[in-house]
Amino acid sequence: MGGAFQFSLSDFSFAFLSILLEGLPFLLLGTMIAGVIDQFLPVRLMARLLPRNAYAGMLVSGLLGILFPICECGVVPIIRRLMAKGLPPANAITYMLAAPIVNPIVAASTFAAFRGQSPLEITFLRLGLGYGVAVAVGIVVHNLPLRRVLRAEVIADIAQPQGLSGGAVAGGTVGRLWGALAVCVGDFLSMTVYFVLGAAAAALFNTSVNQDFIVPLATNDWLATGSLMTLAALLSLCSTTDAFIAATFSMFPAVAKLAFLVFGPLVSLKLVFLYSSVFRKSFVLGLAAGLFVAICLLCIRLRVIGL
Amino acid sequence: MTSMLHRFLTAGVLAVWGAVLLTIYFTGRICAYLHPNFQPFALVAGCLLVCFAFLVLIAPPTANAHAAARSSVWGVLTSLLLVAPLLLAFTNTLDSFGASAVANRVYVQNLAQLPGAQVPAVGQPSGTVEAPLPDDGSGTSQSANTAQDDKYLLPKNKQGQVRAQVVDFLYAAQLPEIREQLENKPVEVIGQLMPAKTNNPKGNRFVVIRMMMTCCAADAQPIALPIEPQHAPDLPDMTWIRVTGKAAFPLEGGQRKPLIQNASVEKTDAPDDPYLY
Repeated sequence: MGGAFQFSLSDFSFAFLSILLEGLPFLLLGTMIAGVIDQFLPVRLMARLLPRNAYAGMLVSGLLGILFPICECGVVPIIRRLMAKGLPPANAITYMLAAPIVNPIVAASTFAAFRGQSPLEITFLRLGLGYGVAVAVGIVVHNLPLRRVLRAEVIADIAQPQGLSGGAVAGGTVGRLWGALAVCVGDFLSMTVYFVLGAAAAALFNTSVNQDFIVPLATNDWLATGSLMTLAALLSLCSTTDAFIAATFSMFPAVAKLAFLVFGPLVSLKLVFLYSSVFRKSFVLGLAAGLFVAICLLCIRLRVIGL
Repeated sequence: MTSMLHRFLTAGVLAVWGAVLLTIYFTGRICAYLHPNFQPFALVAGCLLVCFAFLVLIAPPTANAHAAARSSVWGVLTSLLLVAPLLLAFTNTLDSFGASAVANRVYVQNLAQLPGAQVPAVGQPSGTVEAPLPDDGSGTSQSANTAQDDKYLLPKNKQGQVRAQVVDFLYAAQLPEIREQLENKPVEVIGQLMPAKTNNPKGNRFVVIRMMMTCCAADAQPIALPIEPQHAPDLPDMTWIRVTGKAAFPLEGGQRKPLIQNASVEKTDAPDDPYLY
């Protein structure tokens, strides 16, 4: 006991199954919504509803989570369908990154978890930073060629705006329901492959790595922030409840806990695998590295306001 | 891939996932994995997956045309990747964490580290704890602690010992009105035996832990209470034990730390619900 790494198949299996059992219903919900979007949402409707100006559109996309709250597992299949329905990729990515943070459920859980630890400030900063970072990434993506961002098959879906299913299946509403089922099942299986890989990686860290080793890092702002962000990525917690875990890192400074809360829902082991089902691997790695640096710098900078 | 092969592989994968979810739910194993609030979602997802498996089998051919265009090898490999780890985990877990996984986690040993708890601010009147004491699933702690006038009353067992939960001691270290019910009094606490990792100057202490779950077992954290036994217990780690002794709250490192002194330890059965929430 006390080593840095100890593996037990039973413990790994237990943590792995618990992550799957917790996340799978939300992944299924996301793919069901994706199926409905694919078959019932008119092509280009989302694009028409958003402001014509691309940047204003991204600002609005970052707030869609308030109306359509969904956690990070469910949002990936949804944005894939929304892009196939004509939502610009930059807007879709802005929604994807913002929705798991900028939504009422996360606001309420963060406020509740941080009672006694400046809850209003932490909640406001979490949502504000999450929104700002999501919009910033959207702006960057807006200026990148699609082939550097999306996988080839996703670009093909966008080029063929009816979507992956080939559009509405003949036979009216019943036919569309069959089509929605096909899209839902197809998306569910392809996303679950990545989810299984992410859950396995998170479970391995969760049960095999001695977490006492990160505690000494709490004394330095840079190390504390970097280590909690890394921990957030490894633990792959759900954004609706991660605040309850973050609040318990009592020896860590508030800026580090804030970084944990902003970075975790955007980049985690689980999500890196899920993102890879839609985005190019190089983009996913660049996104992860860029967000790590940006959020770390932003959060440490917040020391100036006494956080 | 032939349409028929794709159809059966897809339906098979969905059926296996649905069956695993429903089996875990209906055998009660779900309680070991998920917070009660999340358990119904697993049931719904399991039912939906089984339904979808059936619907995939009877769906019109056009609905599966695109996915069936992939190669047979890819389809079989994907199906294996989806099913094999799930079944391997399903059949190789004891539905609880062993000693090494618990030892790898940071022990929660004060109220500030307790998920969802509020540390009372300096000068805040005692007895105004906004967060309720966690539920241990047995109803004992909640019913005992949901007392009038914000005062938590801890129950006693037949021997007159105060029956407390591990987490009660964390609150007691911060809140005088709970501490006065425990300090220097005979107490009884049930939990799992683990070695003390810190705060063990003479090397004669161990801790009794309860796992506290926020959403799922993967995020459960061990809430630990140090014990100074009369005799070192000769039991394996993670054994469920009943500890009786005298509660103390010595000042260590400038803070009150809960401790059970002169403790007797005996093996006991696991409670119906091993988690605190």
